Amino acid sequence: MAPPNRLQALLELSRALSSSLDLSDVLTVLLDRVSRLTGATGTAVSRWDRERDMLVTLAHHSHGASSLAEVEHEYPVAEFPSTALVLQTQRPLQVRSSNPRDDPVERALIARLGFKSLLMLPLVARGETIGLMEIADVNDRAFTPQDVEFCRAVCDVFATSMHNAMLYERARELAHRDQLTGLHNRRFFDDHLERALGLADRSGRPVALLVLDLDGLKAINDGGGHPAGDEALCAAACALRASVRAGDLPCRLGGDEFAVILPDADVDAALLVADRAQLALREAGQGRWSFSGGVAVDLAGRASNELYRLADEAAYRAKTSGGARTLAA
Amino acid sequence: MAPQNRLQALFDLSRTLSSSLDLAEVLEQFTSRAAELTGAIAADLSTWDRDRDLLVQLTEYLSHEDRVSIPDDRLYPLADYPASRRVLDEQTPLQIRVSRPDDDPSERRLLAERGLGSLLMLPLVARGESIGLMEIVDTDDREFDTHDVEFCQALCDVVATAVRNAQLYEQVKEMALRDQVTQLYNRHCFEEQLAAAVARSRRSGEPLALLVIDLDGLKRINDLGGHPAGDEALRAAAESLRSSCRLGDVPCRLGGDEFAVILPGAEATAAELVAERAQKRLRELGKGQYSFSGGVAMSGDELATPYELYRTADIAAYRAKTAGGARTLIAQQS
Repeated sequence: MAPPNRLQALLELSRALSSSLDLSDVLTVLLDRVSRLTGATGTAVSRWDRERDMLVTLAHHSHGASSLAEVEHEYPVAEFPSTALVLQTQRPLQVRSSNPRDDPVERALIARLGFKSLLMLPLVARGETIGLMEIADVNDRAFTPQDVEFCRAVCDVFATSMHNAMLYERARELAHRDQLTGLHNRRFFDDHLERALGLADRSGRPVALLVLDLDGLKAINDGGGHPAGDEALCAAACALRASVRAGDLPCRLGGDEFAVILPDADVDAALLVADRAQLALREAGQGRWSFSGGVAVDLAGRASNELYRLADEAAYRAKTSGGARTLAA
Repeated sequence: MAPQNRLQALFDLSRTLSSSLDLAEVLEQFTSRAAELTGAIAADLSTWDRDRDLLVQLTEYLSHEDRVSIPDDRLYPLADYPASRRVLDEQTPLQIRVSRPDDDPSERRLLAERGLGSLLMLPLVARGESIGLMEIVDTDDREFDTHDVEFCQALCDVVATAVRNAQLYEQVKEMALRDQVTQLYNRHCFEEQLAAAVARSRRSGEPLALLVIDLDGLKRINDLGGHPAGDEALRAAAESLRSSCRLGDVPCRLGGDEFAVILPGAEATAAELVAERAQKRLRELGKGQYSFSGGVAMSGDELATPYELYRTADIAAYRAKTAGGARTLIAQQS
């Protein structure tokens, strides 16, 4: 591309990328445009997880097909010395399968994926390396200094948006977690119960709601102060986490109150989860702690607060009949 | 500017603005370049507060930090400015000149009051929605030509995206600091704020009081009326604290039935006064059903750490509760 066209293309890329703070949107925008911008046949974007020194592939575009990674592939940086160098020095690096002096590990990797040349570029935001962009070609191509410079500009624009999306995601995650127990919080619960009911409506499969009250939190607090109460709450959260099925959403609604949203579950399935949690909690507290639970199930149409009210009432009946049990609405 | 320079300028602006998610930073970056970019004397930004149907002048945000403290004369009710409203609704730019009698009189008056001659109003549009206005003003009584307007629209696109992102980020960050039921600061935030307040008080020698409050009988309220009734009581307690605090006090919900207020610069008597006001307000809100037990402790040599301070106030609140509740006690400190 001629320089003014490149500038125009960069500006458009910058605008398109910054129009969302959602990482998958940002990646999709990049994948849509990257091969046109760079003329390459393959592109991969990875995040550098510094703590574990891993490269986590987020998205790739290869031979005309792009995809966001559904299962994240991870590569230990230590096993790829050239990659490590790019991340640490923040300088791009080329690898060609025809060049015997280039890193053999990288050459083997690109050959296996059907490429002959590779340009590795650091993704740098606010001075820090946050990931890697790899631009590959099926031809044995030498990237010119102008190509490299342009690809760096693309990386800069992209890295800014990727960084923003990651910051936003982290803040969102924090806003939707209960800080004491690490479970989802009430805000998350309100959002997701609504969503689960909508899904049930469309799929025709039921959604169950389990509401659980930790028995006697007040007595625990009065006896041992708030640290004792916190210990019981964390144990309850652990018991729930260990007892739910994959895809269930355990939440702490506040105070002594917990809830689990169980998509695609009937009363029996929900009661089973409640029983497992009860058992786990009793073991954790050597018999001191228990739940009172209530289950309500819905297929469709009911408002989320109505389902919640039914489950909460059942939990209340469980409590007034002595606690340590779960009743169906 | 030549077209190529304009392209470069737009790209540079886009890079600079998108590198921050902090609204004040975004505004500062834009404002410092506005005159050079637009060729006019200034470009003001405002956001559209749809709930109150106001334009809030954002450049003021820079000097005030806290949006709550924006003085009323920086808030423009849209009902008084039909031309601005049209720009927001129709998402098309509009020019106003003082010398043109057919132009909107309220806008012309505003310009004349400030000694300005012309105005170009442009909508800030992010994801298809108008979020505010850019107003480019000049002392000359001039016409902005088509190229100027087009370029300014491109600037608006860049600015609108950055402002919107910063707003979204701020919202979600703020969410993480708030308790969902009462919208007070949550326990996590309380711990940070208390630690900071204790450190400040030790440095400056200013007094620092901590008020810890337990809502009386929350369990009974929950048992009788279910969690919705409990939530209502908690919200009433939060409202009573919010309306009783002095400027600079920090009311928080720690969880369950427990609240706290950090009172920088307050002696025990001032803290007690806040508690009394809140108690009275809570009684009104709950028509006599609700009350709380409070405890006050003062930071000092004896209570040097945030935890000791909290512990002492909490014990005083517990004594207030065992003495029958609906009262606030001051911790005995030598």
